[in-house]
Amino acid sequence: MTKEEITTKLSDIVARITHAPKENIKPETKWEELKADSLDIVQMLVAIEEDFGIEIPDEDAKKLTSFGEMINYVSSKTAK
Amino acid sequence: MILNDKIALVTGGSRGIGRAIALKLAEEGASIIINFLRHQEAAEKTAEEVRAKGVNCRIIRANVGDEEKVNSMFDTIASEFGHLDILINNAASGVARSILEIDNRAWDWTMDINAKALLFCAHRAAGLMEGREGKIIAISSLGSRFVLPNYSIVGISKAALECLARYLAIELAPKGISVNIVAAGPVETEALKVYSKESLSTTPAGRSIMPEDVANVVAFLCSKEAEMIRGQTIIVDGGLSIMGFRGSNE
Repeated sequence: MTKEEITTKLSDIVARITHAPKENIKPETKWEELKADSLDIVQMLVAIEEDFGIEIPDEDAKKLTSFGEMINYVSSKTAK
Repeated sequence: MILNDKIALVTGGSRGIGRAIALKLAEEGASIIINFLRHQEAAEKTAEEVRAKGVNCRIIRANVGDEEKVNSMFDTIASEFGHLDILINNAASGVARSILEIDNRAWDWTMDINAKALLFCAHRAAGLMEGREGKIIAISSLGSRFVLPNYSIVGISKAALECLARYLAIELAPKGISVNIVAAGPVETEALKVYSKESLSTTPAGRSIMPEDVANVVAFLCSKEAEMIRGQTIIVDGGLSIMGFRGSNE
């Protein structure tokens, strides 16, 4: 899967869960800018883990504070 | 070993109380199916520990709050095992908020995973338990009857879970399936840290409540000896609840 495909898929997930318009979801966008609460984050993690077949340990998830960081993390995990 | 040749599904079985139950039932001879949602590595590690006890173990990822995912999990169980003897409805989630901060999403998420999951799982498990003296155990907590800080929606969901289990106990009795509830006090797990930052190092019984304390009671309820216990909530709290949450008797 290319980084572009990963970005598109992640953008779909984030938009579906946070109800944020896709044009507002940019690599530099922080979760709090999307008004994502702790439940949004958990639901995003569940969806990403299911859709990409990866595990995001809680300690890693805490460090992923923006959409761009999530793209890079998922890209590195799916490249393995 | 009291559960030789039995097959047990433990939802949320990768960590904490679920892990202890999986290990205890395996110790008693049951083959184990561990359901998990997010922590695959932990599920695989627990599965290894289960297998080390000489029984089979399978792990299945599924959000038990999603009926479609539950059906898919039970389809897998039906095709791979053909039947089921024990369902431990243990998976739980929720948000640590006061009741005035609970919105529609938080309500649905928590109720789906903590309460509705038992309905979905019992529907399918009942079919796989026909003629096998099946056992269904729901894992609850003292929050179903006492008001605990930031536990609001989880407590409500546990009350719903317990009530649902009582209805199931009566409706499934003619099929030879027994249904009971184990309600634990604050158990020493990672999940406890979400709701309480205070140390809960002791109870009137003189020590903290461990996952294995819950697992031991679950194993008993799965045994033949517990046949006439139906639809009951067994409290495992070292006496905390009768102290009115004042702590130990020191």
